[in-house]
Amino acid sequence: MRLRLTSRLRPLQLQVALDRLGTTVDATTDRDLMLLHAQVPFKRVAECLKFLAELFTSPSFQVSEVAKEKTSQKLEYEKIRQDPMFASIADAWEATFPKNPLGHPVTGYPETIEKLTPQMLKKFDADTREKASLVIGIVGPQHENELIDYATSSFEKIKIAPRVERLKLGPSRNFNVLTRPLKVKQTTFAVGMVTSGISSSEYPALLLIEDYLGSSRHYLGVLTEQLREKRGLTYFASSRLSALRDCGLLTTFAGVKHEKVSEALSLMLKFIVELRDKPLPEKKVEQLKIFHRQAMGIMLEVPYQATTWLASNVFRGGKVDFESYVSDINAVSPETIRNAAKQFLTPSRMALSVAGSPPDHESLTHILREAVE
Amino acid sequence: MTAMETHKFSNGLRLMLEKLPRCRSIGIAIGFPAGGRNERAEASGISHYLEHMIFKGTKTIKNIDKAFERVGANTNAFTEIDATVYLAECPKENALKTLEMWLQFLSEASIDPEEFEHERGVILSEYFLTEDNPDFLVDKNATLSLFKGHPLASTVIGTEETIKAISHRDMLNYFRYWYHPSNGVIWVSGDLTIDILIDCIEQQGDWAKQGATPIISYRTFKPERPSAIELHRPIKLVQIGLAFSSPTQSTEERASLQILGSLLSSGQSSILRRRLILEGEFTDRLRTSISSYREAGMLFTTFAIQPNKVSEVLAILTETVRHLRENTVRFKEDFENARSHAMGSFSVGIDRGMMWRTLLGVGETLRRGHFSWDELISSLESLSFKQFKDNVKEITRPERIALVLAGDIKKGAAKAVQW
Repeated sequence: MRLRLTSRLRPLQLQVALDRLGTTVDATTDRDLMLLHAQVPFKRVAECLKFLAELFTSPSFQVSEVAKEKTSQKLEYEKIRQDPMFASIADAWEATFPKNPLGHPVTGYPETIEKLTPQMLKKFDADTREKASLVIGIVGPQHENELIDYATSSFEKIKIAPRVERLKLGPSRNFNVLTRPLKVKQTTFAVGMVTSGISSSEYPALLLIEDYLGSSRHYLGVLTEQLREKRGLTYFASSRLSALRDCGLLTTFAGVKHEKVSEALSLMLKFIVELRDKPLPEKKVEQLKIFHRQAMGIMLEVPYQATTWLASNVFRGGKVDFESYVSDINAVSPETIRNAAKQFLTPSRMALSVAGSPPDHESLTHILREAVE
Repeated sequence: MTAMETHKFSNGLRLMLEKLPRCRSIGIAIGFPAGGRNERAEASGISHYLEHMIFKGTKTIKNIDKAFERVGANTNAFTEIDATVYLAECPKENALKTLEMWLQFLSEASIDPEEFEHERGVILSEYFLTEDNPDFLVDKNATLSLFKGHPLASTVIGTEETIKAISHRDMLNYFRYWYHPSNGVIWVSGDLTIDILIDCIEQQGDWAKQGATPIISYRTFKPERPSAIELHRPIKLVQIGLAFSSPTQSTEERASLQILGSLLSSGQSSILRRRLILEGEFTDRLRTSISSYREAGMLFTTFAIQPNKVSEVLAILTETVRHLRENTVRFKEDFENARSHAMGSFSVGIDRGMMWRTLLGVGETLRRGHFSWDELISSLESLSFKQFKDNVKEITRPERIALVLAGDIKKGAAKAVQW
């Protein structure tokens, strides 16, 4: 709704104003934060910030516009669930955090979306602005004082009272398995593992585990090497760490021919479990550290990525100065990696989701049990 | 102004350096004009398959990813309809080492027969991914349909049948023919000087080799009739793809295509965003892409809707296209907004990262022989409303349109549309 209209600007007026600024604005809602991000030619940053402030401070929840947005949100929910890769990753959250707010889809379910009213949205907006922290991240060529001035003058209306509600995990359980039959050409499966959060001491080790398994920074992880390069089982076998303030989810996923799911899943689990059972060689950990530092250095030269990293780390209690972030990475050892892996490689913290043509529930649980216990 | 330095080697290899003072990272792209358009129908997908094989290394270095990792370089590659581009981004201090490694891997690729067979499974998995994702599915079919009968009609990835049929001998021949230095373009972005790059390239013996340049048959694209494709799939939503072909000989034609993209669907206040999202309740998001090849360009937009909304949405699309074709004069204000959006998107787009920046640069150089960001931005800035209107009339002619519907749709729904 924030990107749809404000109390001053009707939907079309708002979009025209953005085009005139040459700005691309988008929003991302995660389990614990909403990020509004804009990319703008640097000469127009002050105007853009004023605009973003208006989106935050003067939202409007007109009945007819809320109805339109609800339709959009239901479509987004369905779209994710008809693609086996997106569906299995989304389901991994639900399977790993059953009966917990973290397991709910960020879009909501079609039936919960339908029940939303303008009053509920208005109240949620007011509560959120009262309770949550606001972080403004700006990366640009101007002097920092100039940028800070722009930001403070644009957002002066906002009352900030930092307070974060701590999320609690549900009761322990054994290998939750969620399957979604789809008539598709190949099946995707995702293993979800509950990890510590961004402010924990294990976080640097978790980042290196993500790189070791294969991440967007470090494409050639052990999963790609073993499932794709050595065996030709899949085009993609990767991992993704979503670290929130208090906990996180490490997801590993791959798409394979229907009949290869069991084989590929067993292999994937074998390489994850090895992290718990024997320490990685010292040399390997050193290589991961060097690569991670260099990859982050390159990433942070991209303004959009730098602002996103900065804002979400401030919000979630992570490190924001690069030197101290790097010194945490430097301190990771084979043993800290093993300790971090021991924490999440337990039946109570693991779940599996399969979208496509899944094997039966029992054999999937059996594969998990065999590999992990 | 961007500082560009260029150098042409005696064998035809072109080097472009975009100087970015104080930048700590370097972007490198090496491209060849080898893409889907050069393939025989029965070997469709071979350029993309070759791109995968390059990552299988040389006789002495089997794992090139690990070799790049040791110098802190991220690598990637893209195969397009008219080019294949290999990319790296790395810290400045390892730029020459990273460039040397790419030059070596590209000239000495072993294309081992066993690895070749093994990779077929990976390529098939990627192909299935494009079949299972409605957005990809509609995208590749729109290209095929829009340029039917012309070499630009390529899916790039091929089909299940052609991927299974490509032989090791086909692959070796294709590699030797297309990956010759005389065909190549090297683009580097970062804080370096051109002299040290020239030295580095000249020291790689294979890259100084003389050789005949393969002939690419460019021929005029003459659209003949509108096309419509229906892909019946058991999915809950219907994915719609709308594509336009465009002439791209002049800078005005290319600028018009960019601005039309903003006006029609990518701008925040674009016509389709307004009609389908802001006013209607039809979709949540539109994805728009613009491709500009030597003989023609393509504007493509895709989105998902509920199956019971197909007729209404198709009516909106036809009305929009007719309106654009016949009443463009009414869009003066929208044109200016779209121009601002297109210029802003372009400026922030090239700052999306080194890989993206060098990919754009090398692609443009391969297609048009020269390139500068400033030239592209000033073509957007100087386009007159009259030129824009004339070009939009041409682009929205019915024979320049392809419509693709995928999902649980009524037979004949796409073919019934009259533009």
